[in-house]
Amino acid sequence: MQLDFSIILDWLPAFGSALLVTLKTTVCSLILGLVISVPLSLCKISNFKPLQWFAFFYTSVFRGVPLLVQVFMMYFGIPLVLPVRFTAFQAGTLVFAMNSAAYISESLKGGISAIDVGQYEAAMALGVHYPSMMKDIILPQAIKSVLPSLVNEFISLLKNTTLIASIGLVDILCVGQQIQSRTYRAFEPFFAISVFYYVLVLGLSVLGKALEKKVNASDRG
Amino acid sequence: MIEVKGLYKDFGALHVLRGVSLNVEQGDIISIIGPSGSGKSTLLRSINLLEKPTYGEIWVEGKLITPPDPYLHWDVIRASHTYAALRAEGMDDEPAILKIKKEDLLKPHEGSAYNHLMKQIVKDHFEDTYSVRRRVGMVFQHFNLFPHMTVLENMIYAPMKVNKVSREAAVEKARALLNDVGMLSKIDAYPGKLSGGQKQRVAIARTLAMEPDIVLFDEPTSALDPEMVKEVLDVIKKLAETGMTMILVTHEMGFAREVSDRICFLDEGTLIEDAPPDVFFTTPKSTRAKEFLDKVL
Repeated sequence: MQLDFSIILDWLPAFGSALLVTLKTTVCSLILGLVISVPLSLCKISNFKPLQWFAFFYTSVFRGVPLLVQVFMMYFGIPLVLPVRFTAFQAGTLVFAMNSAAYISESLKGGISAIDVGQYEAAMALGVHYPSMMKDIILPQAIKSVLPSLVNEFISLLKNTTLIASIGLVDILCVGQQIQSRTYRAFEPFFAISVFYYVLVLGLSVLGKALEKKVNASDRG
Repeated sequence: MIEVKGLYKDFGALHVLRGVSLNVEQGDIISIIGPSGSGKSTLLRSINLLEKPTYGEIWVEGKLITPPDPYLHWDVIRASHTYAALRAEGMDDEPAILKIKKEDLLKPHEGSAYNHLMKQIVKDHFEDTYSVRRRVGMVFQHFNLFPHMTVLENMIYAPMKVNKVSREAAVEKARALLNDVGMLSKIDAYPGKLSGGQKQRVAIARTLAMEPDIVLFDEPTSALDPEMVKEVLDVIKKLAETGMTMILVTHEMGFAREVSDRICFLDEGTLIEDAPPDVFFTTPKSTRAKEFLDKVL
Protein backbone atom coordinates (compact mmCIF):
# COMPACT_ATOMS: atom_id res chain seq x y z
CA MET A 1 0.00 0.00 0.00
CA GLN A 2 0.99 3.60 -0.53
CA LEU A 3 2.19 5.52 2.53
CA ASP A 4 0.79 9.01 2.87
CA PHE A 5 2.40 11.07 5.62
CA SER A 6 0.48 14.19 4.68
CA ILE A 7 -2.33 13.05 6.98
CA ILE A 8 0.01 13.63 9.90
CA LEU A 9 0.25 17.27 8.89
CA ASP A 10 -3.54 17.53 8.81
CA TRP A 11 -3.67 16.24 12.38
CA LEU A 12 -0.78 18.33 13.67
CA PRO A 13 -2.94 20.65 15.85
CA ALA A 14 -4.51 17.61 17.53
CA PHE A 15 -1.05 16.13 18.08
CA GLY A 16 0.07 19.44 19.56
CA SER A 17 -2.59 19.60 22.24
CA ALA A 18 -2.21 15.86 22.90
CA LEU A 19 1.51 16.33 23.39
CA LEU A 20 0.74 18.94 26.03
CA VAL A 21 -1.51 16.44 27.82
CA THR A 22 1.25 13.83 27.78
CA LEU A 23 3.87 16.26 29.07
CA LYS A 24 1.56 17.70 31.71
CA THR A 25 0.72 14.24 33.02
CA THR A 26 4.35 13.20 33.03
CA VAL A 27 5.70 16.29 34.78
CA CYS A 28 2.90 16.42 37.36
CA SER A 29 3.34 12.71 38.09
CA LEU A 30 7.08 13.05 38.47
CA ILE A 31 6.87 16.01 40.84
CA LEU A 32 4.14 14.44 42.93
CA GLY A 33 6.00 11.14 42.85
CA LEU A 34 9.18 12.80 44.11
CA VAL A 35 7.25 14.46 46.92
CA ILE A 36 5.75 11.13 47.98
CA SER A 37 9.03 9.25 47.59
CA VAL A 38 10.94 11.32 50.17
CA PRO A 39 8.83 10.40 53.23
CA LEU A 40 8.53 6.90 51.82
CA SER A 41 12.30 6.47 51.66
CA LEU A 42 12.59 7.90 55.19
CA CYS A 43 10.11 5.23 56.31
CA LYS A 44 12.30 2.59 54.70
CA ILE A 45 15.40 3.65 56.61
CA SER A 46 13.49 4.26 59.83
CA ASN A 47 14.20 2.18 62.93
CA PHE A 48 10.49 2.05 63.66
CA LYS A 49 9.29 -1.30 62.31
CA PRO A 50 5.65 -0.39 61.45
CA LEU A 51 6.89 2.44 59.22
CA GLN A 52 9.24 0.00 57.49
CA TRP A 53 6.42 -2.49 57.00
CA PHE A 54 4.15 0.17 55.61
CA ALA A 55 6.78 1.33 53.11
CA PHE A 56 7.59 -2.24 52.12
CA PHE A 57 3.91 -3.03 51.61
CA TYR A 58 3.35 0.14 49.59
CA THR A 59 6.26 -0.60 47.29
CA SER A 60 5.34 -4.24 46.81
CA VAL A 61 1.75 -3.31 45.87
CA PHE A 62 2.74 -0.76 43.26
CA ARG A 63 5.41 -3.03 41.87
CA GLY A 64 3.28 -6.14 41.96
CA VAL A 65 0.08 -4.93 40.30
CA PRO A 66 0.18 -4.12 36.55
CA LEU A 67 0.08 -0.40 35.91
CA LEU A 68 -2.98 -0.63 33.66
CA VAL A 69 -4.86 -2.42 36.43
CA GLN A 70 -3.85 0.32 38.87
CA VAL A 71 -5.15 2.96 36.44
CA PHE A 72 -8.49 1.16 36.06
CA MET A 73 -8.72 0.68 39.82
CA MET A 74 -8.16 4.36 40.52
CA TYR A 75 -10.49 5.62 37.77
CA PHE A 76 -13.31 3.06 37.80
CA GLY A 77 -12.95 1.11 41.05
CA ILE A 78 -12.09 3.53 43.86
CA PRO A 79 -14.95 6.04 43.18
CA LEU A 80 -17.44 3.21 43.76
CA VAL A 81 -16.26 2.52 47.32
CA LEU A 82 -14.93 5.88 48.43
CA PRO A 83 -16.62 9.27 48.23
CA VAL A 84 -14.15 10.60 45.67
CA ARG A 85 -14.39 11.35 41.98
CA PHE A 86 -11.43 11.73 39.69
CA THR A 87 -11.13 13.17 36.24
CA ALA A 88 -9.12 10.95 33.92
CA PHE A 89 -6.17 13.32 34.31
CA GLN A 90 -6.33 13.23 38.11
CA ALA A 91 -6.69 9.47 38.30
CA GLY A 92 -3.86 8.91 35.82
CA THR A 93 -1.51 11.41 37.45
CA LEU A 94 -2.19 10.03 40.91
CA VAL A 95 -1.49 6.46 39.88
CA PHE A 96 1.65 7.32 37.97
CA ALA A 97 2.88 9.46 40.85
CA MET A 98 2.26 6.80 43.48
CA ASN A 99 3.79 4.24 41.20
CA SER A 100 6.97 6.15 40.51
CA ALA A 101 7.18 7.07 44.21
CA ALA A 102 7.54 3.35 44.88
CA TYR A 103 10.46 3.09 42.48
CA ILE A 104 12.09 6.42 43.31
CA SER A 105 11.93 5.75 47.05
CA GLU A 106 13.76 2.49 46.47
CA SER A 107 16.69 4.20 44.74
CA LEU A 108 16.54 7.09 47.20
CA LYS A 109 16.88 4.58 50.02
CA GLY A 110 19.97 3.24 48.29
CA GLY A 111 21.28 6.78 47.87
CA ILE A 112 20.74 7.57 51.53
CA SER A 113 22.42 4.42 52.79
CA ALA A 114 25.39 5.08 50.52
CA ILE A 115 26.14 8.31 52.37
CA ASP A 116 29.13 8.13 54.66
CA VAL A 117 28.27 7.80 58.35
CA GLY A 118 30.68 10.66 58.98
CA GLN A 119 28.16 13.05 57.42
CA TYR A 120 25.59 12.10 60.07
CA GLU A 121 28.19 12.31 62.81
CA ALA A 122 29.40 15.74 61.71
CA ALA A 123 25.83 17.04 61.62
CA MET A 124 25.04 15.52 65.02
CA ALA A 125 28.27 16.83 66.55
CA LEU A 126 27.26 20.31 65.41
CA GLY A 127 23.97 19.90 67.30
CA VAL A 128 21.80 19.71 64.17
CA HIS A 129 18.41 18.06 64.73
CA TYR A 130 17.27 15.05 62.70
CA PRO A 131 14.78 16.84 60.37
CA SER A 132 17.29 19.56 59.41
CA MET A 133 20.04 17.00 59.08
CA MET A 134 17.98 14.96 56.62
CA LYS A 135 16.68 17.97 54.69
CA ASP A 136 19.91 19.95 54.40
CA ILE A 137 22.73 17.43 54.68
CA ILE A 138 21.65 13.90 53.79
CA LEU A 139 18.85 14.20 51.21
CA PRO A 140 20.58 16.75 48.95
CA GLN A 141 23.51 14.37 48.64
CA ALA A 142 21.27 11.34 48.23
CA ILE A 143 19.13 12.96 45.54
CA LYS A 144 22.26 13.97 43.69
CA SER A 145 23.50 10.42 43.67
CA VAL A 146 20.16 9.06 42.39
CA LEU A 147 19.78 11.70 39.68
CA PRO A 148 20.66 9.30 36.86
CA SER A 149 18.01 6.83 37.98
CA LEU A 150 15.60 9.74 38.39
CA VAL A 151 16.04 10.60 34.71
CA ASN A 152 15.35 6.96 33.88
CA GLU A 153 12.21 7.13 35.98
CA PHE A 154 11.16 10.26 34.11
CA ILE A 155 11.65 8.44 30.83
CA SER A 156 9.66 5.36 31.78
CA LEU A 157 6.98 7.63 33.23
CA LEU A 158 6.75 9.45 29.91
CA LYS A 159 6.25 6.17 28.09
CA ASN A 160 3.84 4.79 30.69
CA THR A 161 1.52 7.79 30.35
CA THR A 162 0.24 6.25 27.09
CA LEU A 163 -1.93 4.15 29.41
CA ILE A 164 -4.19 7.12 30.17
CA ALA A 165 -5.56 6.81 26.65
CA SER A 166 -7.33 3.76 28.03
CA ILE A 167 -9.40 5.89 30.41
CA GLY A 168 -10.30 8.36 27.68
CA LEU A 169 -7.79 11.16 28.05
CA VAL A 170 -6.67 12.42 24.66
CA ASP A 171 -2.93 11.96 24.71
CA ILE A 172 -0.69 11.33 21.72
CA LEU A 173 -1.56 7.65 21.49
CA CYS A 174 -5.27 8.48 21.57
CA VAL A 175 -4.86 10.86 18.62
CA GLY A 176 -3.17 8.03 16.73
CA GLN A 177 -6.13 5.77 17.40
CA GLN A 178 -8.50 8.50 16.22
CA ILE A 179 -6.54 8.86 12.96
CA GLN A 180 -6.60 5.11 12.50
CA SER A 181 -10.35 4.89 12.91
CA ARG A 182 -11.04 7.87 10.64
CA THR A 183 -8.60 7.11 7.82
CA TYR A 184 -7.99 3.36 8.22
CA ARG A 185 -4.29 4.13 8.19
CA ALA A 186 -2.19 2.70 10.98
CA PHE A 187 1.44 2.86 9.93
CA GLU A 188 1.73 6.62 9.48
CA PRO A 189 0.15 7.75 12.76
CA PHE A 190 1.89 5.15 14.89
CA PHE A 191 5.17 5.77 13.13
CA ALA A 192 4.76 9.47 13.86
CA ILE A 193 3.97 8.71 17.50
CA SER A 194 7.02 6.50 17.75
CA VAL A 195 9.16 9.32 16.43
CA PHE A 196 7.56 11.75 18.90
CA TYR A 197 8.40 9.55 21.87
CA TYR A 198 11.82 8.64 20.60
CA VAL A 199 12.80 12.28 20.18
CA LEU A 200 11.35 13.21 23.56
CA VAL A 201 13.21 10.44 25.35
CA LEU A 202 16.42 11.24 23.51
CA GLY A 203 16.05 14.88 24.53
CA LEU A 204 15.45 13.89 28.13
CA SER A 205 18.51 11.66 28.20
CA VAL A 206 20.69 14.50 26.94
CA LEU A 207 19.13 16.85 29.46
CA GLY A 208 19.72 14.31 32.22
CA LYS A 209 23.38 13.93 31.30
CA ALA A 210 23.86 17.69 31.31
CA LEU A 211 22.14 18.00 34.68
CA GLU A 212 24.24 15.22 36.13
CA LYS A 213 27.40 16.90 34.95
CA LYS A 214 26.34 20.21 36.45
CA VAL A 215 25.56 18.93 39.92
CA ASN A 216 28.66 16.77 40.01
CA ALA A 217 30.84 19.79 39.28
CA SER A 218 31.01 20.61 43.00
CA ASP A 219 32.38 17.16 43.85
CA ARG A 220 35.30 17.02 41.50
CA GLY A 221 38.55 17.74 43.26
CA MET B 1 34.59 20.85 83.52
CA ILE B 2 34.26 17.29 82.24
CA GLU B 3 33.87 14.44 84.65
CA VAL B 4 33.80 10.89 83.34
CA LYS B 5 32.77 8.44 86.05
CA GLY B 6 33.13 4.68 85.77
CA LEU B 7 32.41 4.57 82.05
CA TYR B 8 31.66 1.21 80.45
CA LYS B 9 30.90 0.61 76.79
CA ASP B 10 30.00 -2.78 75.36
CA PHE B 11 29.52 -3.54 71.70
CA GLY B 12 27.69 -6.83 72.09
CA ALA B 13 30.19 -9.19 73.72
CA LEU B 14 33.06 -6.79 73.12
CA HIS B 15 33.94 -4.68 76.18
CA VAL B 16 35.56 -1.58 74.71
CA LEU B 17 35.60 0.56 77.85
CA ARG B 18 35.82 -1.03 81.29
CA GLY B 19 35.35 1.57 83.94
CA VAL B 20 37.15 4.71 82.80
CA SER B 21 37.17 7.75 85.06
CA LEU B 22 38.65 11.04 83.99
CA ASN B 23 38.57 14.68 85.11
CA VAL B 24 39.20 17.58 82.80
CA GLU B 25 39.46 21.12 84.14
CA GLN B 26 38.78 24.36 82.30
CA GLY B 27 41.70 25.11 79.93
CA ASP B 28 43.18 21.63 80.21
CA ILE B 29 44.68 19.99 77.18
CA ILE B 30 44.50 16.24 77.51
CA SER B 31 45.97 13.76 75.06
CA ILE B 32 44.57 10.27 75.07
CA ILE B 33 47.05 7.76 73.71
CA GLY B 34 47.25 4.01 73.60
CA PRO B 35 47.39 1.04 71.25
CA SER B 36 44.71 0.67 68.58
CA GLY B 37 41.56 -0.95 69.90
CA SER B 38 42.20 0.36 73.38
CA GLY B 39 38.97 2.40 73.37
CA LYS B 40 40.48 5.88 72.86
CA SER B 41 38.04 6.98 70.17
CA THR B 42 35.07 5.41 71.95
CA LEU B 43 35.93 7.37 75.10
CA LEU B 44 36.23 10.60 73.13
CA ARG B 45 33.04 9.98 71.15
CA SER B 46 31.15 9.28 74.36
CA ILE B 47 31.82 12.82 75.56
CA ASN B 48 29.52 14.27 72.89
CA LEU B 49 27.34 11.16 72.87
CA LEU B 50 28.16 9.88 69.41
CA GLU B 51 28.51 6.68 71.45
CA LYS B 52 26.02 5.96 74.20
CA PRO B 53 27.86 4.51 77.20
CA THR B 54 26.54 1.24 78.61
CA TYR B 55 27.17 2.20 82.24
CA GLY B 56 28.70 5.16 83.98
CA GLU B 57 28.09 8.85 83.88
CA ILE B 58 29.53 11.84 82.07
CA TRP B 59 29.15 15.33 83.48
CA VAL B 60 29.92 18.37 81.36
CA GLU B 61 30.07 21.74 83.09
CA GLY B 62 27.99 20.47 85.99
CA LYS B 63 25.35 18.86 83.80
CA LEU B 64 24.71 15.14 83.54
CA ILE B 65 24.67 14.19 79.87
CA THR B 66 24.15 10.41 80.20
CA PRO B 67 21.29 8.66 82.00
CA PRO B 68 22.12 8.39 85.70
CA ASP B 69 23.96 5.22 86.68
CA PRO B 70 22.50 3.90 89.94
CA TYR B 71 25.81 2.28 90.87
CA LEU B 72 27.27 5.75 91.26
CA HIS B 73 24.47 6.71 93.66
CA TRP B 74 24.39 4.13 96.45
CA ASP B 75 21.84 6.16 98.39
CA VAL B 76 19.54 5.62 95.41
CA ILE B 77 20.19 1.87 95.33
CA ARG B 78 19.32 1.73 99.02
CA ALA B 79 15.83 2.90 98.05
CA SER B 80 15.23 -0.08 95.75
CA HIS B 81 13.02 -3.07 96.54
CA THR B 82 15.86 -5.46 95.70
CA TYR B 83 18.10 -3.84 98.32
CA ALA B 84 15.34 -3.95 100.91
CA ALA B 85 14.80 -7.64 100.21
CA LEU B 86 18.50 -8.45 100.55
CA ARG B 87 18.72 -6.50 103.81
CA ALA B 88 15.67 -8.36 105.10
CA GLU B 89 17.58 -11.59 104.47
CA GLY B 90 20.21 -10.21 106.83
CA MET B 91 22.84 -9.17 104.30
CA ASP B 92 25.10 -6.22 105.17
CA ASP B 93 24.85 -2.88 103.40
CA GLU B 94 27.75 -2.99 100.95
CA PRO B 95 27.52 -6.68 99.98
CA ALA B 96 23.81 -6.12 99.37
CA ILE B 97 24.48 -3.23 96.99
CA LEU B 98 27.22 -5.12 95.16
CA LYS B 99 25.01 -8.16 94.76
CA ILE B 100 22.39 -6.21 92.82
CA LYS B 101 22.99 -6.51 89.12
CA LYS B 102 23.29 -3.27 87.14
CA GLU B 103 20.99 -4.63 84.46
CA ASP B 104 18.23 -5.18 87.03
CA LEU B 105 18.53 -1.67 88.38
CA LEU B 106 18.28 -0.12 84.94
CA LYS B 107 14.92 -1.79 84.33
CA PRO B 108 11.90 0.38 85.16
CA HIS B 109 10.80 0.12 88.80
CA GLU B 110 7.25 1.43 88.78
CA GLY B 111 6.20 3.51 91.74
CA SER B 112 9.22 2.76 93.94
CA ALA B 113 11.20 5.30 95.92
CA TYR B 114 14.19 4.18 93.89
CA ASN B 115 12.43 5.20 90.72
CA HIS B 116 11.50 8.53 92.20
CA LEU B 117 15.10 9.30 93.18
CA MET B 118 16.41 8.37 89.73
CA LYS B 119 13.88 10.72 88.15
CA GLN B 120 14.90 13.45 90.56
CA ILE B 121 18.54 13.19 89.47
CA VAL B 122 17.47 13.50 85.85
CA LYS B 123 15.24 16.45 86.67
CA ASP B 124 17.94 18.28 88.57
CA HIS B 125 20.99 17.63 86.45
CA PHE B 126 20.23 16.10 83.06
CA GLU B 127 20.97 18.01 79.89
CA ASP B 128 19.65 16.86 76.54
CA THR B 129 22.01 15.60 73.88
CA TYR B 130 21.49 18.47 71.44
CA SER B 131 22.45 21.24 73.82
CA VAL B 132 25.48 19.24 75.01
CA ARG B 133 26.68 18.98 71.44
CA ARG B 134 26.37 22.71 70.95
CA ARG B 135 28.95 23.22 73.71
CA VAL B 136 31.20 20.29 72.83
CA GLY B 137 32.78 20.58 69.38
CA MET B 138 34.33 17.67 67.56
CA VAL B 139 36.97 17.37 64.86
CA PHE B 140 37.02 14.08 62.99
CA GLN B 141 39.77 12.00 61.46
CA HIS B 142 38.08 12.15 58.05
CA PHE B 143 37.08 15.85 58.29
CA ASN B 144 33.44 15.13 57.36
CA LEU B 145 32.90 18.42 55.60
CA PHE B 146 29.60 18.61 53.74
CA PRO B 147 30.61 18.05 50.10
CA HIS B 148 27.57 19.77 48.58
CA MET B 149 28.27 23.04 50.40
CA THR B 150 31.04 25.57 49.85
CA VAL B 151 33.55 26.26 52.61
CA LEU B 152 31.50 29.30 53.67
CA GLU B 153 28.23 27.34 53.70
CA ASN B 154 29.89 24.62 55.76
CA MET B 155 30.97 27.29 58.22
CA ILE B 156 27.68 29.16 58.61
CA TYR B 157 25.16 26.31 58.37
CA ALA B 158 25.14 25.11 61.97
CA PRO B 159 25.60 28.54 63.62
CA MET B 160 22.56 29.81 61.70
CA LYS B 161 20.47 26.66 62.03
CA VAL B 162 21.32 25.64 65.57
CA ASN B 163 22.52 28.79 67.35
CA LYS B 164 20.10 31.03 65.39
CA VAL B 165 22.87 33.48 64.56
CA SER B 166 22.03 35.98 61.79
CA ARG B 167 23.56 35.37 58.39
CA GLU B 168 25.68 38.55 58.55
CA ALA B 169 27.11 37.65 61.97
CA ALA B 170 27.75 34.05 60.89
CA VAL B 171 29.55 35.14 57.72
CA GLU B 172 31.65 37.65 59.62
CA LYS B 173 32.62 35.04 62.20
CA ALA B 174 33.36 32.50 59.45
CA ARG B 175 35.67 34.93 57.65
CA ALA B 176 37.56 35.69 60.86
CA LEU B 177 37.99 32.00 61.69
CA LEU B 178 39.00 31.06 58.14
CA ASN B 179 41.55 33.84 58.28
CA ASP B 180 42.93 32.37 61.52
CA VAL B 181 43.42 28.96 59.93
CA GLY B 182 44.74 30.48 56.69
CA MET B 183 41.83 29.35 54.52
CA LEU B 184 40.11 32.65 53.74
CA SER B 185 41.17 32.47 50.08
CA LYS B 186 39.19 29.22 49.67
CA ILE B 187 35.98 30.55 51.17
CA ASP B 188 33.92 29.88 48.05
CA ALA B 189 35.55 26.57 47.11
CA TYR B 190 33.83 23.20 47.50
CA PRO B 191 35.56 20.72 49.84
CA GLY B 192 36.31 18.47 46.86
CA LYS B 193 38.81 21.05 45.61
CA LEU B 194 40.80 21.14 48.86
CA SER B 195 43.75 19.05 50.04
CA GLY B 196 43.41 16.92 53.18
CA GLY B 197 45.26 19.45 55.32
CA GLN B 198 43.09 22.27 54.00
CA LYS B 199 39.92 20.26 54.64
CA GLN B 200 40.96 19.61 58.22
CA ARG B 201 41.75 23.27 58.81
CA VAL B 202 38.29 24.19 57.51
CA ALA B 203 36.75 21.45 59.68
CA ILE B 204 38.47 22.90 62.76
CA ALA B 205 37.22 26.37 61.86
CA ARG B 206 33.71 24.96 61.33
CA THR B 207 33.77 23.45 64.81
CA LEU B 208 34.97 26.74 66.33
CA ALA B 209 32.21 28.66 64.54
CA MET B 210 29.78 27.07 67.01
CA GLU B 211 31.78 28.73 69.83
CA PRO B 212 32.18 25.50 71.81
CA ASP B 213 33.53 25.41 75.35
CA ILE B 214 35.42 22.19 74.67
CA VAL B 215 36.84 20.74 71.47
CA LEU B 216 37.40 17.02 70.96
CA PHE B 217 39.91 15.92 68.34
CA ASP B 218 39.58 12.36 67.07
CA GLU B 219 42.92 11.53 65.43
CA PRO B 220 42.88 14.79 63.48
CA THR B 221 46.05 14.06 61.49
CA SER B 222 45.78 10.30 60.95
CA ALA B 223 44.17 10.57 57.50
CA LEU B 224 46.63 13.17 56.22
CA ASP B 225 49.64 12.86 53.96
CA PRO B 226 52.80 13.42 56.04
CA GLU B 227 53.57 16.81 54.52
CA MET B 228 50.16 18.14 55.62
CA VAL B 229 50.36 17.06 59.24
CA LYS B 230 52.30 20.11 60.36
CA GLU B 231 49.85 22.72 59.03
CA VAL B 232 47.03 21.07 60.96
CA LEU B 233 49.08 20.64 64.15
CA ASP B 234 50.06 24.31 63.95
CA VAL B 235 46.39 25.28 63.89
CA ILE B 236 45.67 23.05 66.88
CA LYS B 237 48.66 24.46 68.74
CA LYS B 238 47.46 27.99 68.07
CA LEU B 239 44.07 27.05 69.44
CA ALA B 240 45.70 25.51 72.52
CA GLU B 241 47.43 28.81 73.23
CA THR B 242 44.06 30.58 73.40
CA GLY B 243 43.20 28.54 76.50
CA MET B 244 40.59 26.33 74.84
CA THR B 245 39.78 23.15 76.72
CA MET B 246 40.73 20.28 74.45
CA ILE B 247 40.87 16.51 74.44
CA LEU B 248 42.88 14.88 71.70
CA VAL B 249 43.14 11.31 70.59
CA THR B 250 46.39 11.25 68.69
CA HIS B 251 49.30 9.16 67.47
CA GLU B 252 51.57 12.21 67.24
CA MET B 253 53.64 11.58 70.37
CA GLY B 254 55.93 14.57 69.94
CA PHE B 255 52.95 16.86 69.55
CA ALA B 256 51.11 15.33 72.52
CA ARG B 257 54.18 15.83 74.67
CA GLU B 258 54.57 19.43 73.53
CA VAL B 259 51.03 20.75 73.95
CA SER B 260 49.35 18.56 76.59
CA ASP B 261 48.88 19.26 80.25
CA ARG B 262 48.24 15.59 80.86
CA ILE B 263 48.64 12.33 79.00
CA CYS B 264 46.03 9.64 79.50
CA PHE B 265 47.21 6.19 78.53
CA LEU B 266 44.42 3.79 77.72
CA ASP B 267 44.89 0.04 77.31
CA GLU B 268 42.20 -2.58 76.77
CA GLY B 269 39.46 -0.20 77.84
CA THR B 270 41.12 0.86 81.07
CA LEU B 271 42.83 4.14 81.88
CA ILE B 272 46.12 2.95 83.31
CA GLU B 273 48.12 6.18 83.43
CA ASP B 274 47.11 9.80 83.83
CA ALA B 275 50.19 11.97 84.22
CA PRO B 276 51.89 15.16 83.01
CA PRO B 277 53.73 14.51 79.72
CA ASP B 278 57.22 14.87 81.18
CA VAL B 279 56.46 12.25 83.80
CA PHE B 280 54.65 9.92 81.41
CA PHE B 281 57.24 9.98 78.62
CA THR B 282 60.27 9.69 80.90
CA THR B 283 59.13 7.52 83.78
CA PRO B 284 55.92 5.62 82.93
CA LYS B 285 54.68 3.57 85.88
CA SER B 286 53.14 0.58 84.12
CA THR B 287 54.91 -2.00 82.02
CA ARG B 288 52.17 -1.70 79.38
CA ALA B 289 52.95 1.98 78.91
CA LYS B 290 56.69 1.24 78.82
CA GLU B 291 56.17 -1.37 76.13
CA PHE B 292 53.95 0.97 74.15
CA LEU B 293 56.45 3.82 74.33
CA ASP B 294 59.30 1.53 73.31
CA LYS B 295 57.36 0.68 70.18
CA VAL B 296 56.27 4.16 69.14
CA LEU B 297 59.18 6.38 70.16
